[in-house]
Amino acid sequence: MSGLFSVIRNNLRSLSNFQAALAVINDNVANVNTPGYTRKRVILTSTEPVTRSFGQIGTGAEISRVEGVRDQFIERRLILELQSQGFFAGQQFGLEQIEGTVFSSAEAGISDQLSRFFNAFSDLANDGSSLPLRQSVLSEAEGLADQFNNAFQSLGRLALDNQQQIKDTVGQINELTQRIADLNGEITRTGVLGQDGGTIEDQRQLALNQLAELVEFRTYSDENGVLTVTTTSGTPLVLGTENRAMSVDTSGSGAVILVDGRDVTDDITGGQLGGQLVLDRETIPSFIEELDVLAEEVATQVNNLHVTGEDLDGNAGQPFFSFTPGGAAGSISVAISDPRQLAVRTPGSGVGNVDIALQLSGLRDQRFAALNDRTFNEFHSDIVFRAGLESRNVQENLAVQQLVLEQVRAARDSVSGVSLDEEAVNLVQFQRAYEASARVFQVVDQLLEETMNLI
Amino acid sequence: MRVSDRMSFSLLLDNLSKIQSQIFERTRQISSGKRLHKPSQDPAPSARLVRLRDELARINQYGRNIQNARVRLGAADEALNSLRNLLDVVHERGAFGLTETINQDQRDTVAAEIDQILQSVLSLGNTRVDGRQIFAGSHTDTEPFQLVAGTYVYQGDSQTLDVEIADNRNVLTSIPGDQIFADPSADLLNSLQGLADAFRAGDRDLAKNILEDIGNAENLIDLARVRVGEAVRLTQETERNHENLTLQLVQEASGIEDADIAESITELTRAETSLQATLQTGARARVSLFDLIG
Repeated sequence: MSGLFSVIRNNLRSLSNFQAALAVINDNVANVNTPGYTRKRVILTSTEPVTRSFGQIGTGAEISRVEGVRDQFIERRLILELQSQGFFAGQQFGLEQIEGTVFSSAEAGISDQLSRFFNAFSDLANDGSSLPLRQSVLSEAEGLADQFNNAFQSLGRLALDNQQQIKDTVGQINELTQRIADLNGEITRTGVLGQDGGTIEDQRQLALNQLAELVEFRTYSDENGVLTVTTTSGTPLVLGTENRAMSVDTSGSGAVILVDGRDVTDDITGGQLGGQLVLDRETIPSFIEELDVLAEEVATQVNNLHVTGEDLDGNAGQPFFSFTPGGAAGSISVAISDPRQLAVRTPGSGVGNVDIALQLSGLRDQRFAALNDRTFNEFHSDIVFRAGLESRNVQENLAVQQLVLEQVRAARDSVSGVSLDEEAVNLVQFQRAYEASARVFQVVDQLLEETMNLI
Repeated sequence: MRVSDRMSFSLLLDNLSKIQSQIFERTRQISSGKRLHKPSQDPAPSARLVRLRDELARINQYGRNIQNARVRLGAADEALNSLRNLLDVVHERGAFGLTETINQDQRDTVAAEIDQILQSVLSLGNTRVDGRQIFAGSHTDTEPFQLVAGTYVYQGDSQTLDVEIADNRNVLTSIPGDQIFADPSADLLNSLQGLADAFRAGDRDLAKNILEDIGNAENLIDLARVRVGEAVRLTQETERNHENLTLQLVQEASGIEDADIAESITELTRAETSLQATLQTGARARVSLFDLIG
C-alpha cells in the first residue's frame, strides 16, 4: 500500500516540476525581446532512489536549479569590443567637426581665403595708387583674419562641447557603477549566486556592457559572486556594495579624471570617455596649434615685408597684422584701417611703385622653416589631409568594430538569446510530460479505488 | 548554429541602417553634384584639391593681371607708334626747312609746324591710362614732361612697373619716359624746341645737328617698341599656357570633387531596391512553431 501512496507523492513533485518548467518557458517567451536577457533553463535531476530487497527504485526528479545560459568567454569578448567601439565612437563626432572647420567644400575655407588675400596684393600691383584695390586688400586681409578667428573659435567651442560630453559620460559612468554596486548588494542578500535564475546577474551584465561602451575597466569576482570593478591600473570603481564616483576637473588645459581625488586620466584609454579624452588632450589642441603656427607665420612674414614699404602719404609701413605670439589663430587681426596706409612701394619711389606688393604676393610661393619647409597653402593642405586621415581612420575602425560587435552579439544571442521555436518544442515536451504524469496519477487513483472496493 | 529570435531582428535592423546610409550618401551626391563633402572621404585628394583651388585662383588672378598689362602695353605701343610717325614728319619737314632755296617765311612755317608736333609729342609723353601716367616711371600721378623755366624737365623716375603674370614671372607694363623722351643722348622735347628755334633763327647748321640728334631718339623709340612687343608676346604665350593649365587643373579638381551622377543614380536605385527587398523580408510574418501547436 505504501508503494501506491509514495507514487502519488512523487507524482505531485513531478507535476510541480513541470509547472515550474512551464513557468520558465513562459518567462523566456516573455523576454524574447528584452535586451541583455539570458534564456533560462530548468535543470532537473533524479532524486535519491529507495533501496528495497530486490534493488533500487527511483523516486522521480527534482529541480536542482534554474540557470541562465551564458558563455563567459563571449561575455568578456563583448565587453572588450564594446570598449573598443566606444573609444572610436567617442572621437568620431569631434573629428568630423574638425574636418568641417579646416576644409570647406564650397571654396570658402582658410586656403581659399589665403589665395584671395595674396591675389589681392597681386591685383594691387596693377595700380599701386588705386584706393579700391587697396581697400580690397584690406577686405581680404580681414576675411583671412576672420577665417582664422572662426576656425579657432569653432575648435574652442568643440573643445568646450567635448568637455561637457566628458562630464556627461562621467555622470553616466557613476550611475552605472552605482547600479552595479546595488546589484552586488542584491546578490549578497539573496545569498548564493544564481538562486534567482540569474536575473540580477543579467541586469549586472547589462550594466557592465553599458559601462564598457563608456570606459575601459577590469573586473574581479569573489566566491559569492560579488564583482569588483577597477580602472586598468587598479583604482576601484565598484568595491562590494559601494561605488567610487569619478569626477572631472576642467580647470586646467585639459580635462582631468579623478577618483577619490586621485588622477586616473592615464588609465582611461578605452571606451567613449577614452576617445573623448584623446580629443580633449591631443587631437583638438594639435589642430589649434597648427592653425596658430600658420596664422603666426602669415602675419609675421607679411609684417616683415610691409614695414619695409612706404604708404601713399610717404610714411614708413606699420605692422600689417597684430597677433598674440603663440595664439595667433585666435588673435590675428588687421592692424591698419586706412587703405592709404598700405605700404607697398619702395621708400622714395612714386605712387606707381608696387615692389612691396609684388614681394607680398610672392610670399605665397615661398617655403618657410616654421612651416616644415612648406608654403602657406601646402601647410594648410597638410592640415586638411591630417584631419581627413584621422577622421577616416576612426570611421573605418568604427565600421570594422561594428561588424565585429554584430558578430559577437550574434554569438551571444546564439548562446543566450531566446528561440521561440525552441521554447515551443520545450512547451510541448513539458505539456506532454505533465499530461503523462497526470495520467499516472489517474491510474494510481483508480488502483487505490479498486483496492478500497476490496474492503 | 543556434538562431535566436533576436538575432534575426538585429540583423534586419543593422542591414536597414546600412542601406539607409547608402541612400543618404547617394542622394546627397546627386543633389549637390559633389562627391567629396569632407576630407575623410578621400584624404590625399582632398589635400590636393586645396592646392588645386589655390593654383586656379592664382591663374585667374594672373589672367586679370595679363589683361591689365595688355591695356597699358597697348597704349604704350600706340603712343610709340604715333611718336615714330610724328618723327617721320619732323624729318620730312626738317629736310624741307634745311633746303637752301626756301625763304625765311617758309622756314617760320616749318618752325610753327614743328611747334605743333612738339605739342603732340608732349601730349604722347604725358599719355595716361585709367588716369595714370604710363611714361613717368613710378610717379604715375605726375605729368612726366613739364616746361620748367623754358626747358622740358622729366618729372618721373627710371623704374619700370611690373605685374605678376605667372609664378615667379613678372612682366613690365610701362617703360619710363626718360629712356624714350629724355635720354641724355637724345633729349627729344628740348631738341624739337631747339629745332623750331633754329629754323626761326635761320640757323641751318644748328638745325642740321639737332635733326641728327632726333635720329638717335628714333633708335630709342624703336628699342622701346621692341621691349613692349616682347612683353606683349610674353603675356600672350603665358596666357596660352594658363589656358591649357586651367583646363587640366579644372579637370583634375572635377575628378576629385564632382559626383559621377550616372553612377550615383544607378547606385541609388540599387540601394532602394535592396531596401525594398529587406523591408519585405522583415515584414513577412515569421512562421513559428507556436502557430502550429495548441
